[in-house]
Parts: sequence; structure tokens; C-alpha cells
Amino acid sequence: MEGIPFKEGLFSWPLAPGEQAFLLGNRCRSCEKIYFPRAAICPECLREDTLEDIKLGPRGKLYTYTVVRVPSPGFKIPYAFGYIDLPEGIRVCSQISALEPEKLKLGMDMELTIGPVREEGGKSIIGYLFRPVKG
Amino acid sequence: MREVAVIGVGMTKFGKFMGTSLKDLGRMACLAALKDANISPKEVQVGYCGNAVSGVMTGQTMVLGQLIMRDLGIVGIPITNIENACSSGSSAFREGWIAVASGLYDVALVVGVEKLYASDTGKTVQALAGASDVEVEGGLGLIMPGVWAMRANKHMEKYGTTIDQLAKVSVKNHKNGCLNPNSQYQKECTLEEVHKARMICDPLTVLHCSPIGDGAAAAVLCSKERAARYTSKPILIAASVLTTGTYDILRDITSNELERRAAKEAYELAGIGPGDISLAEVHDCFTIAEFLRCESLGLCPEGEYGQWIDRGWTEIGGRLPVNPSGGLLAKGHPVGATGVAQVAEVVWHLRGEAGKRQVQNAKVGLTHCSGGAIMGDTAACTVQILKK
Repeated sequence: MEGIPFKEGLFSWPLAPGEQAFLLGNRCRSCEKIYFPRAAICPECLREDTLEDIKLGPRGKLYTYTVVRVPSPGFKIPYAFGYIDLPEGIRVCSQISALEPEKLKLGMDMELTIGPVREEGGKSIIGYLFRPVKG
Repeated sequence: MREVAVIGVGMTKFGKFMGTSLKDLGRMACLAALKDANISPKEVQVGYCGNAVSGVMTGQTMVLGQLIMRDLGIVGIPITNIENACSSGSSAFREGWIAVASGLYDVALVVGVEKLYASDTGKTVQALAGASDVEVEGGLGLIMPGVWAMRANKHMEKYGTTIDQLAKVSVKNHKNGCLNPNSQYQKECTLEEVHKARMICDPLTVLHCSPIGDGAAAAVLCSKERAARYTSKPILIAASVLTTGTYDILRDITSNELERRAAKEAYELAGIGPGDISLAEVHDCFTIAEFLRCESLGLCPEGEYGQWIDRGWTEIGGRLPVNPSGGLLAKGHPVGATGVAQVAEVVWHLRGEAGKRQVQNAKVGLTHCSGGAIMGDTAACTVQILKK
């Protein structure tokens, strides 16, 4: 997949063929709090040596969503956008890749995918998206 | 802390003023407030200016407050510029209250000012996108109407709130705006017009969204002891609260924790309960926002604002008029000016000077202004309670 990652250290990138994508967070060994995006320091413990990188996802449930129909620079409209609750106890916002957004339902099972989220200077910006689990 | 009174308020009409500069708008509002207070600019001892995006919109990245006040001869005093997203003006107002309540100063001038119209609307979109974390959420496609559309869908799922009930907020506030000469929109809209307007983010059409706008508002604050020199109708600041979100990532987005917390603190400071409020000016940036504000501020039980709207309880003449000014939806939302304009509106009602939209027997008024979106939570929230 051609393109520039939206932000380093946010999701698995680049992916080898067939490799499962994950979101990249971290967890404090001391207080067990999970952070996404990765925290530079655990604000609960204020120690830099307690954080360990963890993978989040790839499955979650759709908490709520909307379909955005107004243009912002670089975004192709309409696009669906929502909050996904991950089993790790984290909620993430994400574009939703759905061919039929009218079939989206709150609470439905979603899975992570990596792909273009917008364009900038003629190039694809690669980010993470969620899509309904098939079947 | 000592008691502080608002002795003068003023505002420009809100709208599209391409030929009028930020300085002009700010000066006009300040002059109106100073005249209303019957006070000389030379008596102002401290100044605060609320503004959110003048840096992006006009290149005026700094010293806006000093520029506005210099044009009124207010020089040689401490002046501070305040940015707090949509709460910029209300945060500036709170700084004015602290300055006088602390005893350090007797007279404070507060101005909120904004220009959002530009020949390039992309600039406005970019400026307002800065109300979230531009490194993450904004870059993925999250925009403010989207945040509120997602809250609307969740509120509808949880409480059975209907699109008709949401649209009725727009109908009510546009009706109120027709009674307010300072309102950006002075045209009523029907339920059908709200439904059929251009879709922005499902389920919110453009008539569920507050417009961009230009404008300014100002207030003169004074110690209670000294207020009698200038006015026979001082309006007391019974509470002024500012707080930020907790960013609890898994919270229920149909209610705003920081607004519940800010309101509780404000009611305690004022020694009253939500049932004592005669009118409220709340931050209805979107129709669903008026639901969440009224419920989170304890003005109505959680999940029941739809029934209140159906019964007309928040119309002028109802049990608790909400946004008699027209609110952000009709009066307009020049971001930095909004919080101070809300205060001006409540002051006019408490003095009995609100004209055709006057809330009868108004004794206590509440203003609420929230701003910024971080991790699905709100960045800043102000609540002020004003009384006769």
C-alpha cells in the first residue's frame, strides 16, 4: 500500500503481506492503566520506566457513529466516523470503512484495518479504520 | 473574597461583518458596556480579552486586548489575553471576577471578540479544528458537528429521543432570535425546514448547527461597595466556575461529567439549587447540545429534555426559559464573544431590559459555556450564576 502514515507509532505499519494490524498503545506496569495513543509518561505514576508497549485490537464494538457529509481539506465525503470500544478498556475514534453506512448499528462488532484516510499534497495519508466484521 | 457586581454590558450585533475589524468590533462592545455602566474608561483598573482564533483568521496572534483597549484610552494597566476555545470569553469574564473579588482591583473591563467569516472558508474550518488534538483526532476526520452527531445518536438510542424533539430546539431558538435585535438570524424556521435542510453529519442538518459569525461583547465588573456610584441596578455574580474535563475514556457521552461538576460547585457557591434559576443561557452549539447541557447542569432530569421541549417548558413564558436570546443557533456564535454575550443577555433580563423577549420576574440567571473536544470529553467549561 502506497502512502504516508498519518502518525508514527499509532498503528502497525508497514504491514507484511497477511500480517494482522494492531493499534499501538502502552500500559503502565505499576498501575496497569492503558494508553492510546502511547503516553510519554504515566500521569498516575509519573515514572518513565513503567510503561511497556502493547498491541490493541483488532476487534471492538461500535459505541456510536455518524456519517460526515461536509468537506474538510483532503477528506473524501461522505465518510462514516465513530467511536469503537476495545476489549482492553479503551475507546478510540476512527473512520469507518463501510460500503453501506446505513447498515451500521450501534453495538455491532467491528475490526481494525489499515488504509487511506485522506489525501495531502496528492499523496495518500495512511491511518487506521474500523469496518463491520463480515458475516 | 468580596462580592462583585456587573455594572455595565454591551455587544455588537452578531453576523457577517467583512469590512469591520476585530479591533472595531471589540471597541464597539467595550464602548457600549462603559456607557451602560456610566463609567469613564480612565476608571478601568484591569482588563481581560477573550478570543480563540484571531491568530489563524487575521494574523493577530497576540496583544488583541491591548489594541482594543488602547483605542478607548485604556492604557498603562494590566491587560491579559485569554484563549479557552468556546469558553474564551466566559473564562475572561471569570478572570475579571477573580481580580475584583480578590480585592486587588475595583473595576475590571472584560471583552470577548471573534471574526470567523473569511473569503476562504477552509481557513475557518482549520481554525476551529484546533479545538481538538490536531495530532490525532482532527487528522483522522473528527469534526465538531461529527462529535455532536455521535452524541445525538447515542442519546436517541439510550433515551428514545426523537429527531423531532432535537429539531424543536432549533425552532424555539430561531423564534427567540426574532425577538433579539442583536441576533444573527431573525427568521423563524419550521420543523419541516429543519428536517429538510442540508445534511451535515447524520442526523444533524445545517439547522441543527450554530453558524459561524463575527461579533463582540463586553462587561464592566465592579466591587459591590463601589457599584452604587454608577448604577441603581447592579447585578451580582453569585458564582463563577471554570473547570476542565477528566478525559475518562469510557464515559457515557450522553452526559457531561465536567458540566455536572461545574454546576454543582456553582449552585453551592451561590447557595441555591437548579430550581431557583429563572432563565438559562446555555451553549447550544448544536440542538443536541442544549439537551446535554440542561440535563448535565441539573436544570432537568437526565434523558428528559425531549419531554420538556415537547411541553414547551423551555420557551419564553415556560417553566424555565432556555436561550431566550436565540442561543448560539440563532443569535450566532463568534466563539470568543459568546460567553460574554450570554452574561449580557442575563443581565438585561435581570434588569427588566430585555424587550420583547423579556422573561418575567427574572431573579436568578445561569450562563454556561463549554469549549474544546479532547478524547470525546470537553476541554473547558464555565458556569456563572447572576442575581439581582
